[in-house]
Amino acid sequence: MLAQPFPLSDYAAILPLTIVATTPLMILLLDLILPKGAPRRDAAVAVGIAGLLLAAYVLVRQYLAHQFAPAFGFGFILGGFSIAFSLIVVAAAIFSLLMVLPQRDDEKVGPSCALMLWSAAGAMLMAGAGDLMTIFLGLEILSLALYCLCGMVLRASPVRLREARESALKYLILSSMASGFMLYGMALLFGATGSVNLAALQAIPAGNPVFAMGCGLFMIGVAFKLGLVPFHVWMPDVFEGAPLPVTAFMSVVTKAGMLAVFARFLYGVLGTDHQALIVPVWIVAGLSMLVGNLAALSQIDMKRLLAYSGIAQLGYIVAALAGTSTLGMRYALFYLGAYTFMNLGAFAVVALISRDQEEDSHLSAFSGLGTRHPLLAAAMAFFLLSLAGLPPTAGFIGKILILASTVAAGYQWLAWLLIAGTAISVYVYIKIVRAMYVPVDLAHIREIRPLSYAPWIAVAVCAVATIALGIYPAALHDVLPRIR
Amino acid sequence: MGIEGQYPLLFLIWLAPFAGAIVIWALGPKLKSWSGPIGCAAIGVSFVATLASWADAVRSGPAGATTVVGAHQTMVTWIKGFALGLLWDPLTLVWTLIITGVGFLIHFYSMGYMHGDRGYPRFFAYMNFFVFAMLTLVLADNFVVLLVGWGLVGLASFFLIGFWFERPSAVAAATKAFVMNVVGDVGILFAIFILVAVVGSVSFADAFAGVQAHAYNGQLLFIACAALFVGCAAKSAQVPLHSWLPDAMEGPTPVSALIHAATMVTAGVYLIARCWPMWQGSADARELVGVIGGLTALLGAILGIGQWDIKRILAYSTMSQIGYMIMGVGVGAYDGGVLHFFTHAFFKAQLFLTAGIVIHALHNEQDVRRMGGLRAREPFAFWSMLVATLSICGFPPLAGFFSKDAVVYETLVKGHPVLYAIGVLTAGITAYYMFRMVFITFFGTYRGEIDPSSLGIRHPELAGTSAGLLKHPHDEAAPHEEHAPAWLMTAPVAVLFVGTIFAGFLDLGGTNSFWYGLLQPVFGATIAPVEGAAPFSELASSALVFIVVLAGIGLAYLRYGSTAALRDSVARLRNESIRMFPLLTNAFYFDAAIDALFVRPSRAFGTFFGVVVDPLVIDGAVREARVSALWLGHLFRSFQTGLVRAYALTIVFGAAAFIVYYAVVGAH
Amino acid sequence: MTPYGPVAIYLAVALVASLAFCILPGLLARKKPNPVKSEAYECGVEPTSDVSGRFPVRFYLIAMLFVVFDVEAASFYPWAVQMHALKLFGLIEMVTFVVVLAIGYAYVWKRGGFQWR
Repeated sequence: MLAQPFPLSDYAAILPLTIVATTPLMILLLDLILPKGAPRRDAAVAVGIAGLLLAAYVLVRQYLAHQFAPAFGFGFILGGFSIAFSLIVVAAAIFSLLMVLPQRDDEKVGPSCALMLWSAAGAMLMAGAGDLMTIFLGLEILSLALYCLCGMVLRASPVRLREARESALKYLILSSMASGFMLYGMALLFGATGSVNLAALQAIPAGNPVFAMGCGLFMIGVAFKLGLVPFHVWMPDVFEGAPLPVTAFMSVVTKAGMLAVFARFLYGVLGTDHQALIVPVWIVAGLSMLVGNLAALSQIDMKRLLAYSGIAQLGYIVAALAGTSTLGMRYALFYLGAYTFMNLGAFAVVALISRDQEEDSHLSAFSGLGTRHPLLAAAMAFFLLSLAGLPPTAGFIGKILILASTVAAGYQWLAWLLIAGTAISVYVYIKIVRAMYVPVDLAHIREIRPLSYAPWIAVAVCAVATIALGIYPAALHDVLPRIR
Repeated sequence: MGIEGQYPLLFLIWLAPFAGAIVIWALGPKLKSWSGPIGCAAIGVSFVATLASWADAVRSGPAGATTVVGAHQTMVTWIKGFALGLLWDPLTLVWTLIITGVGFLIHFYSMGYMHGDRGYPRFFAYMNFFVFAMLTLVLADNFVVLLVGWGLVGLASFFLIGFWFERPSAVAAATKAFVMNVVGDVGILFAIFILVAVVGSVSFADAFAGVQAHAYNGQLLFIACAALFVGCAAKSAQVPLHSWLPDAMEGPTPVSALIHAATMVTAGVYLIARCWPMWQGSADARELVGVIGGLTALLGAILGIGQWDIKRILAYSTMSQIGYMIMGVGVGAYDGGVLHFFTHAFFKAQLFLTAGIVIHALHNEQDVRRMGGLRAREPFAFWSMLVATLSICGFPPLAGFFSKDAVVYETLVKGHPVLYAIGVLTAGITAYYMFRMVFITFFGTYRGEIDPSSLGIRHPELAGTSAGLLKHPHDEAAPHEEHAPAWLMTAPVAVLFVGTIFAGFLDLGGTNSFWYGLLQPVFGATIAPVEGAAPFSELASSALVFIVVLAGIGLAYLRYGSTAALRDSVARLRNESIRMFPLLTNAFYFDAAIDALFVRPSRAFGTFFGVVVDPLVIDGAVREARVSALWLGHLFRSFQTGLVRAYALTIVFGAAAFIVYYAVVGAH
Repeated sequence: MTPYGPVAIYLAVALVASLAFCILPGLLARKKPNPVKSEAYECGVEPTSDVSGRFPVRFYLIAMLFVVFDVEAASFYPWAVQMHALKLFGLIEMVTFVVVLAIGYAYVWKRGGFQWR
């Protein structure tokens, strides 16, 4: 049987995705056409950001027009849900692109930007994925680009180069392994139901052992990509080794993509009937809050520290979904948004103060920042306070909301773990704030002049958003209820 | 909670100092010496607005509300179910009066004290910012805004302690205060989390209504109170988080007077008084707070005996007096505790400002051993210091007498005889060390020209706070001929006399007194006098305290004030310096204990986790230096592919656990 | 017993048997090692370096490029067979595919990906 071509409206549904996927082609063409002397780096980043902004515009238009419908035979489901996650991915990609500019290597900026956009397209596909095939397709598009990105350091010292390549290889090997688990799980799910469609999976009665095992293997893949303990082992190394913009990109985009898949699976397939099939995920989320923060205690490298803190933060977000309540979904999205701003803001500050060639993100780079760059230090302090969950920042209200939802869902133990994790994390983040504000002899500190001031834009936007969401969270929160 | 409405004056009270801070911060270099008057004006506006809104604070609201008095203004609906607003009731009024009133006087004084300092505009910007932060703290109607204020006062304190950041000791003191206060902030953060988990709200009214509805299971109320009290203990320098306060004297003297005596350090008292329904619900929490308060009162007084720095003596006395307040609110004598805050703000501010006059006159000398005989040279300072000292000792009929006796007697009424004994004993010790300071400073002959070593001053160049030897930066910038007029500094002190002497009369007359009438609507029946609860009357108790105080003064006179003592004062001081108990000079080794108990273990813990959880990875060259000492580092450094294998193994183990779980679940 | 019971038994037997075959020789066999026995080859030249030596990375590059065009060719055949059935839609899709590939080809060419250096 030959399928009829899909109607045009299906193509309209994936328009933002198409934009994000074709922009890299323009970047590459532009990279070829522009002569040697031209500002090729700026052009590549500008085109990339323009494409992302266009995609964001289309997403918002779709949302306002309520063009919610499944497309391609439930392969892709356009709705408030996919639009919200896609917007987060797009925002994260824009901020990450802004961090590319301080790096000085004309040869690699073009491909870097292109790969980042393709990776983002993969995450957007995951956000709207309605069947197992699309999920896997999105996951692989997302990951393949990242394997390359991790290894693409710019002109740097041999040590740095080796670090990056090692990071890429580790990511490739471990991620393939997790993909294997996930694929096996999908195969079992297909075996149990005879369909790859998530809607069809829902019809399965509880207690089917093949279905249960399929869920289990699927969840391993989910936990790996989200970096939940003990599937987090890849994160610190890969985050430390990868170039800074890529690390920043991964810290949000891979998580947002996989979180969308997890949430859709949780709400669309498991619902409230299969609570037993999801308990291990809550346990690993709880473990992540503790272990992530404990391990962050002793870190001296900023990227590595943020990797561990990211493990804990993802634990918080996943915990919000415990109990599969509508409120929980809303709060998880809120916290994911807050996390995007505070985390990428912190990365942008690191991008501004790290040394150009070495990309040195050692903690000592922060000492005396309060006197050298008061504004930058203040912004960083806000990001860190937000990550720690202190008012008046977005992180605080996010944690309050998650606490409320976990307690309401009857998962008190997760709430207590969150509180305990927060206790440890405050120490982690305050350590950096202290380092910034304790006055030091400035003569001993090498002044670092960033090669580009583009990350400043990211810092400013993230700082404003972090504080605004902390003071007036209703702005975002009250938009969320319309998401389904 | 109170009457809901629009109260623009509240915003004026709250934001005028903020506007002042912004203006001075932005235009500081241009304003130069005008930043002082602008800073004063901002606080003055706030004070006038406070007086103008007095009536709103005491207006009675609808019956049946948790708080039946005062005004309430909703600022913003934060999120559905979380409304943030300002609260204006008698308790807030009391604090706001002190913050803006005494705050204004101290700002005024600073125009003289900080005259010619390079950081003059910066100083007033910080001070105005502090007042704004403190007002945020006391005007909040919910825990979130309170915590924001709580954090901001800590920040202002950090900046002002480290104001003279050229001095390493000032930086160290600022950092220490910062770290200890963050511990406290986290305590309050937890309390908020617990409250959200239990009552699903951050507002005071809901949290207190939860107590009445028995929403807190088991020990949760106690845990919430204890978490709040961690914040109180850190901010109010209670044992064992007190050691930052004496070090905080590195800041300029007006800072010590405003932040570390009159207002910020009493935030803990405010919080407990504000959250009294929670404490009323948990006897354990009251016990905890009462005991810690009593211990702090006693310990602060004992440590005050062994100090030579005039500001450190006052710092320990502040710690001791706050101990009284905390003990008072802890045992449930909320009106007494709050009254002691009120009177203490006057006499302690006066003590600090007078000490500032002395320090200023002696060109930044702070060691009392190098003073002496200042009675004739600085008569105004002498009389001011004497009156304020009598007030702090609880000498009738000065302000301190009423408030301290109220607190001490209430401990007996509420059934805490041990705390009562501590209170009485501490009153005696207070009289002793305060008069020790007065006698050494103002009587006998001037010892400033004597060689420091003959006074037993060891390592004067190392002594952290003997600022006389480390010139203040503002001395370099400003030669002494352009000293500010003296009345800038004496006039505010003269005004403080009124409070130091008369503030206690507000409490005269039992249940008919002004004070009782003001606070009764807040605290309700909990502060109503109980007949026959104590073995003897309040008058007898006052007499007992008075005798003990007299004994303390007498002892101080014999050792430091009598003619015999004054004749060979140099030798006596030298002997005392040398023979001082190590326990006293080292402040009971609290810093060492905290270092050994918390700092070092947590560092070790961090290292441990760094080794165990973080499997030391990426290329050796990067972290070789750090790792090479660890055997684990040697183990892992040589093979990197092995590491990927190790990671894969971890993942496989996790996966195996998942598979076993799902196999079991699937089988059922 | 559920329908999957036998599968579980089969898996368990396989696991036990394979583990046993791995472990038992080590435990039961008599060991008398000598230098000649532990040599890599009984005759011939001693190996001088590790077997898993390095290949120049260009081999991989060329191999990858080959795979890309191989896949392109593989997707051309089915399209060619079904071209009339797929009509214009199929043509557009194929052209899009080729254009995307061409951009990549041009990029690799211009950046010197085909040069053997």
